[in-house]
Amino acid sequence: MASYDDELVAAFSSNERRIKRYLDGKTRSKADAEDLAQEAWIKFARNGAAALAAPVPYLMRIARTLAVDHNRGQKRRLTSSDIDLLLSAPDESPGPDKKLEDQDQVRCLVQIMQELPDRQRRMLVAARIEQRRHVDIAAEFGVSVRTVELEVRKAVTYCSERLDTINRV
Amino acid sequence: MDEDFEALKREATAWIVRITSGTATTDDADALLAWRARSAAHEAAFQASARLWKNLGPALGKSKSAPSTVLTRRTFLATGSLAASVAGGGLILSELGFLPTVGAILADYATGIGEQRTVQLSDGSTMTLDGGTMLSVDFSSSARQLELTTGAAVFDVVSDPARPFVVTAANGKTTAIGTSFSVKHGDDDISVECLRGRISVQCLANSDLVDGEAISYSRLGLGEKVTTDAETAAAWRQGLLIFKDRSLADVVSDLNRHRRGKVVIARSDLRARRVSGVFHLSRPDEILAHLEETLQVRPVNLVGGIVLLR
Repeated sequence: MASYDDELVAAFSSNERRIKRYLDGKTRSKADAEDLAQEAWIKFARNGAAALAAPVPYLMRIARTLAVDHNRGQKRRLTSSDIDLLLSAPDESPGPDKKLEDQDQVRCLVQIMQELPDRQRRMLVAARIEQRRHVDIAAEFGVSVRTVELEVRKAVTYCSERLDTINRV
Repeated sequence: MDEDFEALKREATAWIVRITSGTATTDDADALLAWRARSAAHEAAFQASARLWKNLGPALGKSKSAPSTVLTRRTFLATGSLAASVAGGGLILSELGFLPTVGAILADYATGIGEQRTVQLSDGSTMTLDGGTMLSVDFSSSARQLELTTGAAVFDVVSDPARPFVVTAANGKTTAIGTSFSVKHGDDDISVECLRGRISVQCLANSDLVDGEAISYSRLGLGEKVTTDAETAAAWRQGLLIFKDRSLADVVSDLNRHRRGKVVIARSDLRARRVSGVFHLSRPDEILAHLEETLQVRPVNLVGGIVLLR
C-alpha cells in the first residue's frame, strides 16, 4: 500500500503550508498551530479513502473544525481569513502558464464587463472590489438582499459563459 | 465544456457569492466544503469559479466605465450606522475607510485590497500599482499627467523630453523625463523614492533626487532628503512590507491596503509610536501579532475584519 500512503502524504504536504498559516492566524500561536496541524494530519490519514477523493476541501474542513474547537467558538460570522482560505487555490505560487492564462482571462473580462447591464455591473463592483456587505448594497440600490445576490450571481455566471464561448472560438 | 460541468460552475458561483456576502457564517463554510468534497468535478468547478472571481478584481479595476455610482445619502447613512454600531461611536467614517472607496470607480485605474498590477501606458511607460491604489491618467501632446489619489505605485518612464511625466499626489508633484521612481501615500505625508535616473519633487519648494535618494512631503512642504538602500525600495513589489522606524499610523495605513477589513487605531497616543519589521504581504495578520507583542497593544476583532488597536 506504499503508493496509497504516498498519495496521502503528497496531498497533505502540498497543502501543509497554507493549512499551517491558517491555523497560525486562528490560534495566534506557532506551537498551537503545529499541534493542530499534526492532529489534522492524523485525522486526514485515518480516513484515507474519503481524503483522496477530494483532498483539498477535506483537509480544509478538518483544519477549520480543529480551529473552531480550539477557540471553542460556536456558529459565527466568517472572518476575512476564513474567506481567504476558502477561496485560495491549492498551489501557492502559480506557474508562468497559469499567470499568463490569468492575464488573458483578465483581458477578456475587461471587455465582458462592458456587456453587463449597468446596475448589475455596479452591484458587482460594490460586492467584489469594495467588498461591501450585500445588506448595505441592497440598501443603496433600494432592493432586497436576495436581489443583490441574484444579480451578482447572474453577472459572474454571464462572465463564465462568455469566457467559455471565447475559448471555444 | 459539457452541460453538467456548466451547472456545477453555476452552483459554485452561487456558493462564492454567498460566502462573500458579508453575513456568511461558519455553517455556510462547512456546507460549502461538504459540497466541494462530493466529487472531483465539484472541486474542479469550484476552483474554476474561484479563479474567475479572483480575476474579476483586476478586470473591474481596469474597465473604465461605470462612472454612474455616486455616494447617495442612503449609502452614507447605511455605512454610517454600520460604522457606529461596529465601533461603538467615537470614530469617523473616513477613518474606517468607507468613504474613499467610491473614488475607486471614478479613477482610471484601481486595485483592490492586496492586489498588485502592472499597467502599460500608451507612451510605452509602465507602472506597477500596489494594493488599494487609485490613479488617473491624462496624456496630451505636451504633457503626461497622472494623479495618484491613494496607495502607492512605481513608474518606469520612457524618455520623452517634449512631454514631461508628472505624478501629482496630494499637494506635491514629481516630475521625470525618463527614469524610474515610486510615489506612496503615507498616513499624512507622501514619500517619493528615485530608483533610477533623476527626478524633481515639488511641494512649496523644489528638490532634485538621483537614484538611491528619497524625500517625503506633507502640508508643511518638503522634508529632508535621505538615502535609501535599493533592497528596501518599494519592497511591496517583492511581496514584502518593510518598516524601519515608522509611525504606527503609517504602518496601519500600509496594512489596510493589503488586508481585508480595516485596522483602526482607537487611542490617539498610539499613532506616533515607532515600529520596525519585515513582513510578507501574503500574511498581513502576522503584522497585527507583531504589533500586539512589541507595542503591548490589545487588538480587538470585530465583524467584517475590523480590528481596533487600543
